[in-house]
Amino acid sequence: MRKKLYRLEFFYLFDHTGIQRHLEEMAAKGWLLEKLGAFWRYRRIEPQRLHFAITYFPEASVYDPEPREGQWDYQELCRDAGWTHTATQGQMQVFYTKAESPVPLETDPQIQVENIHRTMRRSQVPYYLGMMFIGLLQLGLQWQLYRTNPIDWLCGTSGIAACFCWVMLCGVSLLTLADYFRWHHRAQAEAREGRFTPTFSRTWLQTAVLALVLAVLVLWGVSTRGTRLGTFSVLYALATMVIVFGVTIVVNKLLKRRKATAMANRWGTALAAGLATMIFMGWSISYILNSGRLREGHTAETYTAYGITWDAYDDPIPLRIEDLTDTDYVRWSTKAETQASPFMAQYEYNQEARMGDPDQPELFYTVLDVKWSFLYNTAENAILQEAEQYNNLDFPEFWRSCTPTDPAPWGALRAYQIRRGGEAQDSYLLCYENHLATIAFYNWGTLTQEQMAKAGEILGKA
Amino acid sequence: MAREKFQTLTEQMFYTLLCLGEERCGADIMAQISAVTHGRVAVGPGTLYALLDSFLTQGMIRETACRGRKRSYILTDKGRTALENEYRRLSLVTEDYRRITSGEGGTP
Repeated sequence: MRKKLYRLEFFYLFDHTGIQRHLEEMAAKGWLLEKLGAFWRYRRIEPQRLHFAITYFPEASVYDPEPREGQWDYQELCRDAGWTHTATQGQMQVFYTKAESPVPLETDPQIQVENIHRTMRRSQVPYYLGMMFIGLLQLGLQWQLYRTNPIDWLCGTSGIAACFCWVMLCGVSLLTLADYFRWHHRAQAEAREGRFTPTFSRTWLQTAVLALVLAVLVLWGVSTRGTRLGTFSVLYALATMVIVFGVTIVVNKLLKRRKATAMANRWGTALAAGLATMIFMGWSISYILNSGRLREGHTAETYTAYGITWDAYDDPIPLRIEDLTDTDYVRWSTKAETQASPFMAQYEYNQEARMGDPDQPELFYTVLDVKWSFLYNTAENAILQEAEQYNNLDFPEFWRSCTPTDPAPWGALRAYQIRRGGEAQDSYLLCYENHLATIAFYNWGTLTQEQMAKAGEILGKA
Repeated sequence: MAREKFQTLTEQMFYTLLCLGEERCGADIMAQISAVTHGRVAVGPGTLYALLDSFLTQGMIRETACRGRKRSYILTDKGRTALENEYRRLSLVTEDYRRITSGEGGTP
């Protein structure tokens, strides 16, 4: 029979009533709380009826090297009254007694409410306010990223996953604070009449939120499995969390063992976690830049031109130059990249000649599959605006614009042609029923109606 | 008008100060209060800790000895004054009750 049990518990810090009831139920099943932490540790005992009491020491901290002077005095007083100390974490202390009708640890409700309020004000309130502040900053960042490039944002799953997670965390933080202040307000009024007010937690809600966030993170991970950069991003995020968590725990314990002050421990832990994150980020960036393993596409071979080594790709693409024109050239590099989310999928294709070979026609095109019709206009406007977004960095005679053109040759609903300095380019935006396509022809000569029709036939079905 | 701290004392405050007319440690205070009130008033160790801390800060008691973790305290003059003021207040309340219920001061 196992002697230790580890459990993840989701009580509010101030929920002494709920924690007390839970520990009494555990003792009745034969488990006594031994240690508090991220996981609560229980040890096997004979099932028995025990009374538990939760008290708070506002001045204490998880960074203290050992219990403060006052905590030792407090525990001595409790021992004199028949209560045994079993676990402490930061400001929370847990006691139990076998006595049938023990004198409670707290007999003055006003003192208890004031004590809990001082505890919450010092730790939990700033923590949850900080979480909401960071969450709102992160959501603001995601909004800014969306405004800058809505298509990239909607096609990628990381932004969507980040928004979901931060909304959940902000929601839980807000609810926790609201629950506490609501209890505090009621408890103060009841305490003036000499009555205690029971506390509560929303353990089911916190469990559900954690499960949802983990599920979204797993889905995010699965959704990126098709792209190397996406998979690397997921692994990077997970590794960063493990590093920060691990370094925080290790450094905290090390500094406690060396009897560092709480302030030194707090700053030392934060600095160590920050440094570890920066070192890991630096290594990751170096890996991305130097290894080349995150380049998408299936490298068929490498070749050298102008003293530089190049990659030639051999990805299957739906529309090829050979579909539109006769050519004897065979040393094409064809590359395909995909980015998809529950909202949109973007497929980027190009077909280029190798560097150093005589000029050949080249084809660059993108198909954007819009999965939700209400996003269609957003996507269309984003592509139109993207064509003009760098005009402010260029001379007016080179400004780009999108002008409507005849969609019929392309078999599309609408079509736009890019102009640069007023001169028409062989670059188009084609609007089909459920998807859009952009296509650019280079070194092409004159684009014929037959070529437009053939390209439109393939892109219209893509 | 906001009540000044310790302007009136709760029962637990009153009996704690009363017991500290002599030098006593925490365990003795809890036992003495229970004995004096025949179990009517109980002060939990958590509440007693907070009260002793407040009284020390206010200068109403002082620490006299520390044996291991057992600290002993005794009333100061300020504490004695607060206790006497509370006794006088309670006496007035008791006297008002007696006078009115016995008909001396008019019908209640």
